[in-house]
Amino acid sequence: MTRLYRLMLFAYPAPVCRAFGGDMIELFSDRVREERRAQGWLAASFVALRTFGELPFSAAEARRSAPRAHRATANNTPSSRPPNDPRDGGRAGLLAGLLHNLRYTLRGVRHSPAFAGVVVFTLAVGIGANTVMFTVLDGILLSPLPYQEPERLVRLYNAWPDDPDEKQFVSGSSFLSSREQADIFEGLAAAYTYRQTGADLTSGEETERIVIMPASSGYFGLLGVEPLLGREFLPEEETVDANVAVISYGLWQTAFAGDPNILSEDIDLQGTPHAVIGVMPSGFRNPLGGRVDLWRPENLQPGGRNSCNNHYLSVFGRLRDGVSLQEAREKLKALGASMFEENERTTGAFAAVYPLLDDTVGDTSTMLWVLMGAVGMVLLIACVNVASLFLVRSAERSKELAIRAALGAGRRRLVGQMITESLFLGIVGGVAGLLLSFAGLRAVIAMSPASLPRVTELGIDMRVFVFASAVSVLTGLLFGIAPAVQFSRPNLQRTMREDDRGNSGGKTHRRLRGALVVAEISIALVLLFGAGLLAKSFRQVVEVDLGVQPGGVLTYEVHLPAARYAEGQDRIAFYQRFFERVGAIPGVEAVGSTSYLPSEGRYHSWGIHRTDLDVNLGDHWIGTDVRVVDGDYLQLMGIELVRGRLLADTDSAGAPKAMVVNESYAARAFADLDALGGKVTTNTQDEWEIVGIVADTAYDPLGSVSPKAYLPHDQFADNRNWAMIQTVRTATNPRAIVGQLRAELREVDPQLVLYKVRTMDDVIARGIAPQRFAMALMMGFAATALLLAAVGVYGVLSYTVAQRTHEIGIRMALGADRAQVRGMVLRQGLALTGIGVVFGIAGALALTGWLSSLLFEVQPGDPTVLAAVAATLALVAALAGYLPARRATAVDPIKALRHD
Amino acid sequence: MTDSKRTAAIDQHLPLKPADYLTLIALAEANQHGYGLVKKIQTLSGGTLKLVPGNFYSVLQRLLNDGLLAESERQPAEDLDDRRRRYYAITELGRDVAEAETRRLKSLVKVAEAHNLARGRAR
Repeated sequence: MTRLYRLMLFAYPAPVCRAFGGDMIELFSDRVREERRAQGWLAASFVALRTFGELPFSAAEARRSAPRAHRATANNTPSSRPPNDPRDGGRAGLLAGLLHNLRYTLRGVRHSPAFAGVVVFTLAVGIGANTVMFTVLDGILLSPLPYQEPERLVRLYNAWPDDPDEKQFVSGSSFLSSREQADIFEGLAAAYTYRQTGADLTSGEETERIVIMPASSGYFGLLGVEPLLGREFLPEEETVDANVAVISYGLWQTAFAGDPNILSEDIDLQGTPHAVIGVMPSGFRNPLGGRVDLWRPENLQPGGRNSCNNHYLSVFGRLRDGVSLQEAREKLKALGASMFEENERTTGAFAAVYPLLDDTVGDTSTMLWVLMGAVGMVLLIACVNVASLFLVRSAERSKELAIRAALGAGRRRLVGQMITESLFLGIVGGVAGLLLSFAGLRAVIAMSPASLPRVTELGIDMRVFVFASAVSVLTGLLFGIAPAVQFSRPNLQRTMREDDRGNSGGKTHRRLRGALVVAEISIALVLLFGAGLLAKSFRQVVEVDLGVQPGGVLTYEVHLPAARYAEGQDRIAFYQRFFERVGAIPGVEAVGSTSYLPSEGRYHSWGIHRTDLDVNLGDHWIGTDVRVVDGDYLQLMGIELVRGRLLADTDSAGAPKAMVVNESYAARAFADLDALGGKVTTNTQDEWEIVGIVADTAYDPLGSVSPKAYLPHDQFADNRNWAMIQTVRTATNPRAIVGQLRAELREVDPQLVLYKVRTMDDVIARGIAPQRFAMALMMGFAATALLLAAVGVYGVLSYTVAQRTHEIGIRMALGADRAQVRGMVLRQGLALTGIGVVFGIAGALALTGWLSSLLFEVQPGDPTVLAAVAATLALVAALAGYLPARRATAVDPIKALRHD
Repeated sequence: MTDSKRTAAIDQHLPLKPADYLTLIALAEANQHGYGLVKKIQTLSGGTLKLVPGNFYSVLQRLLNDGLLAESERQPAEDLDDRRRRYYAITELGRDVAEAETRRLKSLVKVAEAHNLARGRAR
């Protein structure tokens, strides 16, 4: 806003600017800031508005008083006219003329506030919506990443020669070999983002759960961000037991009160002391987004976890200067092939390179471009509306203009008046649009899905504000001035006569107005159709059966530090005690846990081999998501038992190993044979018997299913410290028991933290947040378009009725009844709407193909949506036309004949 | 200038507008740059007088034109932000006008007191 004010200061004479400008700007920004702090945004905006509002008057005064002496000496001939005469050629004269025009304009606004109101509203909506959407688009898609030379940053995935478009996480071995390619990369670094990692940070009595990102050495340097204090990880620290950490600025401030000696102190992480070796600056952001409190080194020792089959790393690279993306791709592909020749176990995987910006923005770009297109159409409608409003207005005033011209007002005078009016409304509309965009941006940020990258970095984009304002104000100018130019030509007589006959402003005018209404209707239809498709698609998504009953289920995490829960039996014992206590909380119906929730994506797709066949194990491997579950997880999540039995407490550590599989696995692995009693293995060491078959559950919100196996935690606890996600089914509001859960956890182990509390409904809603976001915005734009189109139809028909009062009066005097007259007006409106709808349908069918990637089980040409949308539009247009039609029948023939 | 002429020169500025009066008071002790002046005026008025840029400018311009203020001769050191500011100082005339205004207001207050109108009201 200060920038805008700085610009506006040019209205003052140059010496004044030089003398006072700096102070005025400082004062302005200080006032706005102060007001914002004390009373909020709205109040601050009013202060800004007030300042903007009084600026022309103050500037005019300055120009009047200050440079007069100048002018007299420059001309050397004192003007015979009074100093403020608007006909005077000088700047002061022009300004006085402007003030005169402004006064005249304000009088006009007072006389017909509806016209001014509608124009300002239209402009504000068009400018505001565009500014917000472009800000989002620019901030997310077009602006470079906040790192040094971001265009050289890339993201690496693993792909295979037979599946080159695959984007699999990178295996440790692939990362280590790619890191050696110094001719391609200036640097290569990895981070673990496969799943959000957490740890318990204990300081004194307090334990809090913090978000951790394991990263390789060189991770920060690759992005070109230096630690604020200390250093980053070294290659020799890429081990399991390097107990070092880099902390975020936020954690440094909150947990350690900005302790300047932090680098010489140890912190307690999961019960193990860690040395803080670095503190990152406050602005640092991870390329994949999300808050991180602490980084610790990723274990990158060859072998084990970093074998060639364990794909789990997110890898980022900085291309060497002068190396193109294409070159890097080819070299890495060749590297993968040569490694495969040496060792078949590498499976031929190679590292595929993508620009980092494209990667972080990913699927979001289609959605944003579609929304941007939609909002552009809103701007177009706004412009059309402004044009048609000014057209109507100027036609209404043609007589006034003609009279003024006849009385000797010069062309310059009339055009000046029109310019002033258009500009005045344009500026007010623009300021209102700016305010609207501040509010709008906050709303968009508030409702944007967490998956929308970089959204929190956004601030209003002034370039697009200026662009949108310029477009709409120019439209107003164009259509505002045209009639003034026309009426200042010497065919005044005709104009006056034409108007007197009650002619609706000339044929050309009428056609143009009609065309504008048609255009508005067609654009609105395209937008409505798009919104309708997204809404239908969203409904389909919401109604997808995920195979679970999420209502009443609460989920949360409790992480058991390895130091105190070293053995599987310790963890089993903990869960047993904890489950008993949770189960006793009033209102709790069932307690359980799982290693990963449904609808949150695929995870631990280790696959299963059948062991009951006399063939090579590898031949019967089926990619299967393995879930470790405990307690009554399957029952409480509503996963339906198809055959056999569910897992029970009797499937304990010593009992025969039991597994439940889903229908997809049973069908794939056993075809028409009975899977019950089948023997399988997931780690090639133990053998499990399939004791039950359950219905499929979806791994995403769109209902996609994959083979799945459920193992009892008691029998698999030794495999690793499972980060189990706890689940509880309650009879009432699941959030109501959170306090009791915390209390019970404190009883069992006071150092543990209840973490990431969510209802299962929230978990699923989060997955469809992008769809909801796109739909909500699109609906908003469509509603705006509909409203603007309705205003357009209403405006044009009202005008027609007003112009035809005389004619209508004659018709009624000659015996036409009300219904006939009303029908006549309505028909005109519906005819325009009809043409608009036809064009609109054509446009919609041509354009909505763009939407197809955003739609779920809806065809881009869906006829029911199209019909509903066309009907809605016709109905709204009819309503908009009804009011003027009714007014037409209220015409009193006697008065009408005296009209004008 | 004779005394009577001088008195006339002072009187033509009376009564002062509140903002003008406060501006002169604000400059009585020390020279100020424009922004500091505005802050000072705000403090002096107990926060009730908040100048916005437009009227700030016109107050200063008016007082400069009337010769009650002048740009300070003393060039202060450059600011931290390396932007030279203009400093303002009260002129001899300005000081006289402010004093005359104070006397005028005092005598008015005396009249008010005599009529029991100056008991003070809690705000």
